[in-house]
Amino acid sequence: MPLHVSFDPPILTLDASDTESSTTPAAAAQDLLRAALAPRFAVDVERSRVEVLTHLDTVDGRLHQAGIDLAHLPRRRRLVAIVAGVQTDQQVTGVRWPALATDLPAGAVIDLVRKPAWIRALIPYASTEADTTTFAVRNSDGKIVVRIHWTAAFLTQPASVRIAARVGIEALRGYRSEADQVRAALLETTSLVPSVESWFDTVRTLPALRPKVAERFGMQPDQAADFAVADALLGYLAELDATVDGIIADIDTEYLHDFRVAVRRTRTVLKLLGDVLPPGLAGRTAPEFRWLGDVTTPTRDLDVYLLELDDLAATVTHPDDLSAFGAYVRERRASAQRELAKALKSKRYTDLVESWRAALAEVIAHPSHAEQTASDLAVERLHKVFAKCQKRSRKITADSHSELVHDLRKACKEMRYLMEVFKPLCDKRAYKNVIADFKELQDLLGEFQDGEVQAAALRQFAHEMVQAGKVDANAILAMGELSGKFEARQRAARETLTEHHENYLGRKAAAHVDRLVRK
Amino acid sequence: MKVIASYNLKGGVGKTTAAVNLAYLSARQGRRTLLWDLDPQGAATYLFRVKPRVKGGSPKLVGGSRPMLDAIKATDFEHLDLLPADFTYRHMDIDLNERPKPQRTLRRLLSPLSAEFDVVMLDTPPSLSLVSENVLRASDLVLVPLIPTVLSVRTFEQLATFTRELKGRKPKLRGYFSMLDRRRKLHQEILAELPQENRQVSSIAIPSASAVEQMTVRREPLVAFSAKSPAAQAFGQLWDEAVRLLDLPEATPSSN
Ligand SMILES: Nc1ncnc2c1ncn2[C@@H]1O[C@H](COP(=O)(O)OP(=O)(O)O)[C@@H](O)[C@H]1O
Ligand SMILES: [Mg+2]
Repeated sequence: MPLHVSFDPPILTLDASDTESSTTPAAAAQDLLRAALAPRFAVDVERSRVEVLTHLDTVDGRLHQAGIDLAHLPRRRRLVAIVAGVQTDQQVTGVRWPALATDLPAGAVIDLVRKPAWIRALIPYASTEADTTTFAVRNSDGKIVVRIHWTAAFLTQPASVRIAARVGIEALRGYRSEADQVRAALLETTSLVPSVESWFDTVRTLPALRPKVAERFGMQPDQAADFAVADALLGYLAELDATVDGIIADIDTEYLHDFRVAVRRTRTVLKLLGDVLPPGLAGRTAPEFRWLGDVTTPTRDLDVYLLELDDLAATVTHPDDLSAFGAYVRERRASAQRELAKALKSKRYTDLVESWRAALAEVIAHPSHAEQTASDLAVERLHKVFAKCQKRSRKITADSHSELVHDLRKACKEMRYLMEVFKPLCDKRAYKNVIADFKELQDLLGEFQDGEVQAAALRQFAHEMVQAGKVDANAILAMGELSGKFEARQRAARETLTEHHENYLGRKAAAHVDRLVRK
Repeated sequence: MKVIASYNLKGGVGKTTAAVNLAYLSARQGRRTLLWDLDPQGAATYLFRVKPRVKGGSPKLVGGSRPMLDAIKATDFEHLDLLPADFTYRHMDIDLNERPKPQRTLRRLLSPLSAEFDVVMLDTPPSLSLVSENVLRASDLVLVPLIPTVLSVRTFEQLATFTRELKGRKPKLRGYFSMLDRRRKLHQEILAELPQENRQVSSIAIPSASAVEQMTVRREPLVAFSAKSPAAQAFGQLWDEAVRLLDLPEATPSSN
């Protein structure tokens, strides 16, 4: 049985300002409807109900992108999803948001959202209260021919705001022409306007739900070089601000991932462009960001293990043998996360963030590099780092030490980050070309590195588990099998690498880099 | 989808009253219910405030050129729809006669509705005609209101014989007492004896009550405006019995 929680696009919506003056919206609505529909139709209240909705999505809006609207109706213990106007319901009890879809009981709704939500938690982005009065519209025989659902709604979270009233016209079977007459009369004699916007879209586009983003200028070619760099760094800082609470609350693993990307970008910019900042600033700050990188590494490494574990398990002969390993990693991860949360709540972190913010604001207020523009800086540094990549790549042979491969990987990463910083100044086609060259190369280098790191880590875990007396021989054997697979991955990557130097970093790639930014 | 007929070849015995209230009860339990008012006089249609008119009338409907679904009207009650009466139903016999296998036409017409409805209730005109035969053949259960008189008991037995002799599919037949007046001795006697003698007669009796007559004034089912009245309660029992006889699956009550 459907609950008759209807989210159909209403045929008409009404601007909130029109009903604001009235303290009793239902009575005001009835007066308006009666005036518009008399004498042909009589209008009476048939029933009313209040619906409380918790609107859910991942923090990066994945469900919305997949065309899914999701809400929890706590009073009815129900999850409701709407896809292409079709409503699906599922009973749920005792859920606390945020929650991972994979941790929620399977059912019609959860099955719909699991894939698009990916590994991201479902988070309330709004709460609303919808107060719907249903009016019966009767013809001269007293027969109900149309129902009008008038919804006065409020946003209750994250702010208290009245939402424009919505008016839905329900045509009863066999009374389509009466519904059309009602619609025409309302359009003609009231301030109601047609709308096809869904309830969810109405809520999503409320000004109160717009994210508060730090003010940034965006890079321009003739900005002072230090101004442009500080502005980019402020962008990364905003990313730290946006993710830190999610890490502390341990909402999902992507907060930490995004945080670490921002830290790494900051570190790369400090290293490659820090010299344009006021003397000493980059030197003082770099160790602090290095600390942030280090303090976040253990949790992230363990996250990666856990995220991959199911896939990994599928590749060994006896997947169940890895369950002891999984439990061990989970335990380690929980304690690493606690340590991490402590670090991110520490004075050291808040001091770092606040003094960094103040220092960057100071650069923006008083830029001093009048003689060097952002595009000057871009041309110079992009060429420099590209040359570094070429040089390191040339050094590598089929049997050179893996250190050299890692050096190349680092240089390539620097190039990628640098390009992202200067992207607003780049020629779009050239940018695409260079990124394409680098993407393949980096994937290959990543394979190489992962193979090595994972194999080493597995050895390490195996030793620890044996020492802690936590494991039997089968588990160690299964882990050995995995470790072997990683080593094979590393070997394969190196072979491809030596064969394709010229393709990735040769003359054609250099020509693309030349066209990236015009002076 | 189950089809129930409210049938008696006599008029004024409570067929329409029962059809309207039982259809309402079915819908209130969450079953998608259709009431087809086959009586050209349109008493049931009137009770739901619907205009007694079907475009194209019986010729188009019975002839199959107008889909039944197009002619259906929502009532004011959730899950309850109505196929209205039309004056042309007076000649439905003739229209049926023009169809192949005329006695089974109604059943054929109803079958596409099974995707939309769980229960179809037929309110029938008082006659023994081709329409009645169609009704008997289309139904899973035939409910027969009996006014406790010797004569009506005899006609019920005639109907039972007729139904028994139908070739092929036979509906279940169930008589019950209508307009029972407990102050009358004869009513009391028949009520006490007949269900003992005839297994097809229920001991449920709808009492004669002025509240029932109010239906035509208020134009609503009795159960909708006076659920606690003894007659409404009796219709509740009768509906429960129908559910049992038809083995209808559990339904979820309507939310309002
Ligand atoms: N139980 C009852 N008590 C009092 N009046 C009744 C009762 N049942 C039916 N009536 C009235 O008797 C008349 C005929 O009933 P109706 O249901 O229309 O019979 P039918 O459909 O068999 O012709 C109607 O006026 C109705 O209101
Ligand atoms: Mg009748």
